[in-house]
Amino acid sequence: MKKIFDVALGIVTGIGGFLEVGSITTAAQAGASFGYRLAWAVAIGAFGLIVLSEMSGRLAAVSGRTLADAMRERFGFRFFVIPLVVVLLVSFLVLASELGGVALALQMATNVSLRWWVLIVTVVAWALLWKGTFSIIEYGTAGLGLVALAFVVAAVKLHPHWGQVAGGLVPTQPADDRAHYWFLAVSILGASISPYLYFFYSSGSIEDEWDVTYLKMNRVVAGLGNALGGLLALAVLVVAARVFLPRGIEVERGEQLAMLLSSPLARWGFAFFIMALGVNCFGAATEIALSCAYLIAQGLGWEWGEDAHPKRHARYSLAYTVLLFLAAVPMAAGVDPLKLTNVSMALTAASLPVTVIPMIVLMNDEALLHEHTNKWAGNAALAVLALLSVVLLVAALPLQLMGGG
Amino acid sequence: MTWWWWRGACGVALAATAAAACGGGPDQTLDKVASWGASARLAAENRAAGATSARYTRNVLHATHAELEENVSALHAALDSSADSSKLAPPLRARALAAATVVERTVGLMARSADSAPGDRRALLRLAARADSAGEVASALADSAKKP
Repeated sequence: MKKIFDVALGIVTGIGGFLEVGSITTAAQAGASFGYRLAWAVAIGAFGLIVLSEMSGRLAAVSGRTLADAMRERFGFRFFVIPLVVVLLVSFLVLASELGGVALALQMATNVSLRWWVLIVTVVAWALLWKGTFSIIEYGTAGLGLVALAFVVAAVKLHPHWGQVAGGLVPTQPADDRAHYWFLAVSILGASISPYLYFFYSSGSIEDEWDVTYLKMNRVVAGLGNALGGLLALAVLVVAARVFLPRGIEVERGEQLAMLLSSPLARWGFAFFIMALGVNCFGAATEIALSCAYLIAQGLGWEWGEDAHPKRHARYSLAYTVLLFLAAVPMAAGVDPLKLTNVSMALTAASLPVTVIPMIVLMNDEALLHEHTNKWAGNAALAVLALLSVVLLVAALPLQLMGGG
Repeated sequence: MTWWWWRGACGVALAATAAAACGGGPDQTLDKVASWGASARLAAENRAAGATSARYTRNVLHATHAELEENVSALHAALDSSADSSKLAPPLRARALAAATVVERTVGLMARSADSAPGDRRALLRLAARADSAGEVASALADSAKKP
């Protein structure tokens, strides 16, 4: 019974956790500029996250080690410094974007500038991490994040041509604006396959004391949760394609995003959008801060854990405290949240090789995974993702310059 | 081998940097003007339908106006530059500037109307229709500038 409850909670977390400022923004920009044409990028992003989450969870459940622990032990600290630094840098930018997303939602609901809201949001997020337990942070914010299901309701209400939506799952190139098209594809992939997500998932598996009996649950949670989360992102793209594209509206400022839901769902849509943006970005911000603190603590061999009093894991608690408050600085200084989101999503996509390629070795290590190493299908999926990650690394910077607006 | 790989990657990055440094031409700026005009109209329609708050509408319109002011300045600069202005025939340049200026000024009026009379949804809709139709002219001119 407890496991069924855990599965349900895990799926809810997957759905609520998938959608945040990056996926909302990039899916909305894609739908507004190219209709359903970039649906394939959302699908590949969801598939990539399913594969990497399942493997991170399996590694943790079988070996009792987090992904970061396993990387450091298998490749040595000198190698581990590379993913540590790269993931921390991109996650820091994403964290700043998420704090900006919550502040933007609050700015839309009030007359107060997001530059002030970001300071309040940061203090509230920090207090939750300081006082809250892992379960409250993970399940609470993700559960509330289900308000984003309003995007699915709006997508259905707008009566899209479902055949054309399905047609978008096959990549096709537009005649014009190709650099922008590929930049958005890279950004969507960066928003979906964020390293903080699978590092957090792996640390969460240890916090929840998973063992080999949780392997089936891990498969269901990683698969169904992220697939349904991907559907939410697809719904955002469909809504943008129906609301913005026919009017020729490009998404260039965060303020425009609320019209995605206020157009099809009227006043409730406006309220739901603000709640969805605010709650989901808040959840993502707490998860990123924790994920970074886990990564630093695991990399440097510190004590870590969210359920114990912060005094017991002082350095770990200091890590998320410093990260959170530093990440508030760009928004408080007036950086545009949408522009920062676009840049951070493209850089996240470029950072993938340093975490995805080592996973090929880890997931085939019998000393770690015994009889639960990857089979051919898992290795094929991981190889495709590794290849994709290298392409993203090479393409991200030029596309950012040419198509990033 | 690695050296050649990195040289190639750096070459692509440098070429892209150079392309980006050239900035958007008048066609891109006109597309943006049209997009902002349509965005202002959607904001006014949502407000008229009671879907959004007066506060939100006012904030969106002020943000839109700020963007349009930048776009009009960028359009002036692009049309002054001999390389970019060649994309549009001389009579079309004046029309492009006029259309962009109408969108910018009309959205400015909408923003002020949202400040002074937040309940007057009809005035907002009337101005929005004017901004959007001027935006459509800008969009048509952008299309003609894109043709070889």
